[in-house]
Amino acid sequence: MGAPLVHPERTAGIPFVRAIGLPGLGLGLVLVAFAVLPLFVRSPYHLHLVILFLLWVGLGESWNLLGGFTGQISFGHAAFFGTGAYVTSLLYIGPGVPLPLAGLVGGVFAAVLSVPIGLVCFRLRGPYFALTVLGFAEILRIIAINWRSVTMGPVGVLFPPIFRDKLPFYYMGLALAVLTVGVVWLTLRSKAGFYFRALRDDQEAAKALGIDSTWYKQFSLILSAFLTGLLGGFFAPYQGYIDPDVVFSIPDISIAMIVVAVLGGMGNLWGPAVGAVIVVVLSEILRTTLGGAHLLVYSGVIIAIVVFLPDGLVGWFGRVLARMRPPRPEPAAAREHQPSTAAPAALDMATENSPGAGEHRRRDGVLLSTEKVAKAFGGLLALQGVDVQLRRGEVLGLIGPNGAGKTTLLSLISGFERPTSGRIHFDSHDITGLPAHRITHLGVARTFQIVRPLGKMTVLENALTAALAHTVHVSAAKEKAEAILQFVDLYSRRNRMAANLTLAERKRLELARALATNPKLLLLDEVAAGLNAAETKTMVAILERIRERGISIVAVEHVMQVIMSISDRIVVLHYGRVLAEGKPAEVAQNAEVIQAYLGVTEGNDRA
Amino acid sequence: MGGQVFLQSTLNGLLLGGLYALIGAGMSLIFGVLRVINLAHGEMLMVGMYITFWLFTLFNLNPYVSVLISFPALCLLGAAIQRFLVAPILRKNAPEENQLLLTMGVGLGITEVVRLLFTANYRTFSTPFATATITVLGISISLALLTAFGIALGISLLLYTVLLKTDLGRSLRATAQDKDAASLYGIDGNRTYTLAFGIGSGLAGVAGSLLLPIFYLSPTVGGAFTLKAFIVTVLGGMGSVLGALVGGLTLGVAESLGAVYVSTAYRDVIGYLVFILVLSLRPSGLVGRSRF
Repeated sequence: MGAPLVHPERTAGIPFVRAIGLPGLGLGLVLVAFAVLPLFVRSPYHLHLVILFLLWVGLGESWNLLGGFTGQISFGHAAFFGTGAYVTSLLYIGPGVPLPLAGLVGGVFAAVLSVPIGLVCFRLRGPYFALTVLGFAEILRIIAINWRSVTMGPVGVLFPPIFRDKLPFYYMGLALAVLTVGVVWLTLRSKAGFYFRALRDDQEAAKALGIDSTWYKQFSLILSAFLTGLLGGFFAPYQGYIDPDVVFSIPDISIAMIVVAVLGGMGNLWGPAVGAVIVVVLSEILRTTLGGAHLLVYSGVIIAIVVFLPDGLVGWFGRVLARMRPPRPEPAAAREHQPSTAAPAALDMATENSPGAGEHRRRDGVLLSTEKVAKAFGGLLALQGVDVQLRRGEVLGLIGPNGAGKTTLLSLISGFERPTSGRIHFDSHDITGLPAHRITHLGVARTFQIVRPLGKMTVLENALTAALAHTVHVSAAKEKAEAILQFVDLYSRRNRMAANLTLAERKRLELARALATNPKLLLLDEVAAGLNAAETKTMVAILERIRERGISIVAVEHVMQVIMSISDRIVVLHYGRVLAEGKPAEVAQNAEVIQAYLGVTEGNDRA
Repeated sequence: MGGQVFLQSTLNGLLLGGLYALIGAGMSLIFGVLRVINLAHGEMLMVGMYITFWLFTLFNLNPYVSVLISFPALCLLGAAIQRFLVAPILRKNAPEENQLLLTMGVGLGITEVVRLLFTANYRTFSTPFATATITVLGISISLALLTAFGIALGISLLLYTVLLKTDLGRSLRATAQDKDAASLYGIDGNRTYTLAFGIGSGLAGVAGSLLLPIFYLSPTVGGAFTLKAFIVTVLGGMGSVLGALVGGLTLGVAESLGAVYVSTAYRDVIGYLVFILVLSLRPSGLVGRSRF
């Protein structure tokens, strides 16, 4: 959605423009225009509309940070808006705290409030989250109505006029809108921003990249709540009056914020600005002509957007533009189609920083061991006491008929499932039951059998997000991601949306992401399944080169040609137990194995 | 005296809870089959109330008889919404949130249309029957509430029986488990989706008819009931009709006791708190997994 955040090189002729970029120049002009706008807009009514626009840009963008970029749809942001508005008003009117400070405290209050809300709600996904936040907003509304001694109850709070005209409010609104959009913009370019978008696109994949999903969602909520609270604190003095049904309103605040963000385009930085123009102008026209039918229009807008334009007006506009423009060749595609063997440095980049790089090449010592690991899903025993050991630098093939427990074993090692009993040790840590993201940080990376690309991010952003596991510097992560993409022969595809890759490319992207987290141990779940002969060959070549770098691998694979050629040793699982273990040739000769596995699928070496 | 109050409010809570159960059963049926949370559910109920109100005002039709009209009317409305709005986005495999946004938008739209048609004025339904009570062992029982409870309970059990014993029920349950697999057995999945959405909405309409004599009416009452339906559904375990019964009764009693022992003003807060508590401690609901 929207333009990729990591831009391909842009060059413009004029040195000044080249320095700040064309978008930067455009943005600067817009800011200047807004700064001098009051010189031209003299009518208080029109200035009022512009102030409302600024307010809603801010509110839409705050919601967008959590909903559009982090994928956590909230139906109850009025909770934070109302809290900001009330705290600011009560502090200003009661103890006479100066307005800027009171507003700041309002934002902080909203942020603090979002912590317990997040603690409860982030245990839940999707609809539960949306509606539970709404429930919290309703609770706050009822409290504001009934806690008369503090909130003055349903009659609300009257804010004494502080400025004689709207001009100071205009600049306050402008500052807040710029602040909100700026904070979101900066966040998106930081590690947190990449993590937010990864969580939005695929939470399971995000965990595998070492992302602590609860903390990052919470962080996004806190930031979003803070900004919303600030804007609530601006609304109160500007409006001059607040009451519970206004500032905690479901349709007029919570839903309107969604409308602004969704109309422009969820997960698009400039979406809320477009949404805010339309909503403010439309509401105003409807208010003066139909008398309050704006909610009907909100309803129509939401339905139309969800059914016809899920990526909003900005997204739609982008698609129209793209269709009008002649297709450009992939940037320098020819140059990058050089054989990927030319990038051996890539993997050095991947390994040299990893904590145990030196040990990698020493083929001694146990890296991973499972002790009597068992896993039951209800009554089904997927694994019943499996002991597997992996030495440093070793490649272990894990085979067995469907349902033998291979993927379950990978899930236990990578922390996606907790074993029912038994222990798992990795690199002198007991990792039994550790959350997946922590295991990733210890140096275990996994790929998924059914590929999980972060679909609305580019290929480069996918790899970059993974490379952020051990650094906060986006530029460093980008360099590493580029090197790894060259290594897996995806560099020419780096600016594609991950959702638009072929299956073979997606499989390699899985691999690239796993490598970018600096693993000592790579868990591969059928990376060759579904590939044609040529693609399989490429994959085997890549795996060989990974193995040359000394990264240990556990590979679940049905494609015999792959497993036999890369494995040092093979473990055969059958009904959740280890049936046989040994060198590839030995295992292939084992009568039990042939009977249980190879016998049934002889001459049929696909999945 | 204290015991009397406790009994009285528990009983009131149970009776109201029966209605909540019916509201929740509709939402739960829709969620169970389509995996869509219908955020227009309360608005459907509100439409049922208006139908009943106008049938009574214009033709003096007994609210309990008007169930025969509100049920099919809301079935049709629900089926149309499913066919023309929900089905297209389900086909696109859109993220879950889009379904929420869509049904929320639909609910908002219904409210606004009703507001434009019948104004935002609050109305009450006044007949002697609406306020009649009987007294048993010193506990007074509202006849309207008792009747509503009886009918609601009857319909919930009927729905449960239909789901378990009839071909219609079997096709609904099969589609709920796996639409594609069900279609391999000759069940038209899309038709079943429309049926489920229709029946679920129809139940909301029935609940509206039953609720009218004991509640007030305005275009905006729906939102609160959407939330209550959701709470009931979650309390009972998403998708379980039997669970909705347990959830409804629990919510009814919790609200009623909360109103007496904590504060009437915080009645709804109690409901939300019970909901948040259950979600945090037992995310699968009070009943856990049941057959339906």
